[in-house]
Amino acid sequence: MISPPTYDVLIVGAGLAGMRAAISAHQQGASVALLTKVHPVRSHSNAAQGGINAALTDRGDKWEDHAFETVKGSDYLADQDAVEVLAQDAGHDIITLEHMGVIFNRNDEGQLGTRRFGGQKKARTFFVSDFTGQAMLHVLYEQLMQAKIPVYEEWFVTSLVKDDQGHCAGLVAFEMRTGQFALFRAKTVIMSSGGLGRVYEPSTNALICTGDGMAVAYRAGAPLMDMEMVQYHPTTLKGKGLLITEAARGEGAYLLNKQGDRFMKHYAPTMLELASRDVVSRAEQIEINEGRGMNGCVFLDCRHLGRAFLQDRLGQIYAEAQTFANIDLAEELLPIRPGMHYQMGGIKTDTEGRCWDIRGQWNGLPGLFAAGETACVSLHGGNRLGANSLLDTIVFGRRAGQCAANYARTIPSPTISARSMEADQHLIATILARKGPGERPAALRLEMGTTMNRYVSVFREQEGLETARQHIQALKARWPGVTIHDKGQVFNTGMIAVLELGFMLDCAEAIIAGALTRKESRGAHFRTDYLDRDDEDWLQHILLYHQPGSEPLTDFLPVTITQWQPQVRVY
Amino acid sequence: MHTTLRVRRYNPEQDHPSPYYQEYDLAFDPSDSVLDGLIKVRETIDDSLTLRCSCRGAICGSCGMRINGHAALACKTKIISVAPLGETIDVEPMNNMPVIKDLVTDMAPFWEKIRQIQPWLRPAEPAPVAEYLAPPESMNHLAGVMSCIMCGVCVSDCTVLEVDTNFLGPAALAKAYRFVADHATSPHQTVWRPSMNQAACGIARAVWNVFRSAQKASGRWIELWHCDQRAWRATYHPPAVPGMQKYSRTSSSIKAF
Ligand SMILES: Cc1cc2nc3c(=O)[nH]c(=O)nc-3n(C[C@H](O)[C@H](O)[C@H](O)COP(=O)(O)OP(=O)(O)OC[C@H]3O[C@@H](n4cnc5c(N)ncnc54)[C@H](O)[C@@H]3O)c2cc1C
Ligand code: SF4
Ligand code: FES
Repeated sequence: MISPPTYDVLIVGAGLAGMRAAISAHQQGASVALLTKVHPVRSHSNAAQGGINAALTDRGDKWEDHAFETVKGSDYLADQDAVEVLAQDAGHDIITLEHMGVIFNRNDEGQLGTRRFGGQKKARTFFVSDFTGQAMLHVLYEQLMQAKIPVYEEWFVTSLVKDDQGHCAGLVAFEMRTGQFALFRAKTVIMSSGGLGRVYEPSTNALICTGDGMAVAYRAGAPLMDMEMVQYHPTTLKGKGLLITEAARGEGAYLLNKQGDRFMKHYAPTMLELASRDVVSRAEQIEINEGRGMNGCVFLDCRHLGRAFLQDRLGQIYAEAQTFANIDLAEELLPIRPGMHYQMGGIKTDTEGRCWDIRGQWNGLPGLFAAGETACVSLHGGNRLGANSLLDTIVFGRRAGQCAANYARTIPSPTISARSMEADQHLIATILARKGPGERPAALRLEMGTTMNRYVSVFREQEGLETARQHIQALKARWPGVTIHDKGQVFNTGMIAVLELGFMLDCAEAIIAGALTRKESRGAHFRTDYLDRDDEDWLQHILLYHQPGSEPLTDFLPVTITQWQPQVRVY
Repeated sequence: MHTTLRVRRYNPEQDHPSPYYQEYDLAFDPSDSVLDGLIKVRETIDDSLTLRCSCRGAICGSCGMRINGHAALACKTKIISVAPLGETIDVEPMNNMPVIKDLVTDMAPFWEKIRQIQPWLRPAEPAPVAEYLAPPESMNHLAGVMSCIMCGVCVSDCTVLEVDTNFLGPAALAKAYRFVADHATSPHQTVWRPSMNQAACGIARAVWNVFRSAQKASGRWIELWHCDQRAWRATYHPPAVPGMQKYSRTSSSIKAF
């Protein structure tokens, strides 16, 4: 049996948030380890193409402007204290990355160069060609190697463990290569397990984005917040839903309907294609619904940018359009449509990444931290600005790592018994023991994904949401009958699919519960039966607490407002 | 349209584990990749078929495997391009690394070599307050090597590795080059030397060939041929190693490629 040492800080996930947290906790002198279900550089952060935002003062930019545009982008649901932290720390954190070796593009003066992104008047997005996430991820992995921080690679986390006082004291995981379980004891756990895109079909997200960490933390008692806020990205490819980066529009591409009209002028006369994502996605969907699209798509027009420019600044999507859509961007229009992309909500944290409230205003799980897409600080509120998510992982990954390391110093070593892993071992044994034809996990996943994409997408209303809720409940009832034919212990990906499906169903349920509760339209949550934003009743977050076997428990938290009073949102 | 995937399978938990081939008949769409085909098999026919995959978009580097004998990313290889008439497609795990199960290989030796070159930036002087200033072209140049996704495809098809397992392999060499060629720091990045010796010992041409095939397979452009005198000099003085004579020749022939 594997018995790992006790760690001060144990991190679930080795994407940007997890690795950044690991490096900062290590620098604070804590003993640190990471667990990840894929090799760190395979994490989904590598898919981020466009870039990372920061307002650098020596470039004539102001952090307040970045903060304001983030708040406006969020449709005023973001907590402004958190946004201020993000915008203020951004410059320093970008420079730190550059010093670590991220080869950001330069301007003619040799300084870091910028490009424009949506929802922002100024160009403040730093980038590495169009593989910014990959470049950052590889550099953080280099730093991890240098610091010799242990990584439990291809380990799958199944649950969190609490001690008798209800303090998070470790977790249960199994090694995919052997199927062996282990109990990990840790003074603190940082959840940085990424997003939940696969709850939807299609999605821009990788196949590993299955909301594991959200579900695991939720089941252990940590609340999820803003779950109804699911971002649809305006430019995804038909079929599998692969993403075409917003940088394409940032660099000047147009959106056209089938009449060749640049329709965004009717929806966002000033910002046009670079309005916030929720605004652009809604506009596209209206064009499509009203018959001005073609085969469920509108078009991205890059022709005027020229082949050389496309190859140089947007090489990855130039190749992607060729490979995956058989389109030559320099000469042809690319059919695109809105597609599920990002979860603004997640495990509720404060600005130090803590999943409990030191002032006791909401109930959480002491000892647990979260950062990255899996967390909800709340920075993105109702709608995330492009290129703010990478920044989120870097700033709040670092802060969570620091805070966890310092907090670990103040508490004794955890005491939990090895019996804590019996329930998960039993579950796996039960799944393996199931005989007969049964249902395949993929069939259920597809039903879940298409249900969510149909009823809980760009436009929502009561009846559709109720239908979705019933479907998901039915799927949850069928989950215990799901059967796989691979009965082995070694790299049983069928087993992983079953577990991930269970996590995703919990996430889906939470998204729907949030969407049913919020009776207004704000950001990505647009209800055709409540067309307006309602600041009087709904300038608040919805917190969801897991209730085994029944609907989640709902609670509310006021939005923190520091300097920007809600205004009408026009672009 | 229809094709047959002929997959090399291996299950270490069988009584007498040994590799065998299994055929799966498959209906496919012209837009489907080999990965889509394999996923279809896994989800609807045989869930024990084991492979790694994640992004579906040739970014994460998970799905390297041999398709009709050549290593490639399964998500980037269209079925129609390898089986235009519905021919049988051979799918096998990558070469030059141990197989764990079916198409899943043990990449540990690959990462060990990456670690060997100590691939992290060690600047000579304390970092400036702001960013390092650098000409835009130099960063674009490095971006060429940094776009390696560490998929192992080049290692699978590397003919040098077949005869010399100590050879670092293209991906690690490209990674090393990234630090050597960095304007801000290269003179101080000495770790490159052991790998340089290898390149020096007459295998550079082989490296280049592998790069060519890797570039074709993964679509990444590894700009080794840009390896200019400056970078080589920066790491390779004083010339006190026995292989030096050979090294100079190799260096110039690289430029001539
Ligand atoms: C196609 C695409 C393009 C994007 N472009 C941009 C952009 O240009 N700019 C921007 O700011 N944002 C962008 N985003 C969003 C951004 O990339 C992500 O939100 C961010 O990278 C998430 O990072 P993370 O560290 O939170 O999670 P991830 O990088 O997803 O890492 C999650 C980690 O958790 C691990 N994990 C998960 N579950 C388990 C488990 N059960 N057990 C063990 N380990 C587990 C995984 O192995 C992985 O290591 C993009 C997103 C997509 C999908
Ligand atoms: S050099 Fe190319 S083939 Fe080799 S690991 Fe890098 S991306 Fe893959
Ligand atoms: S699935 Fe990511 S590279 Fe193929």
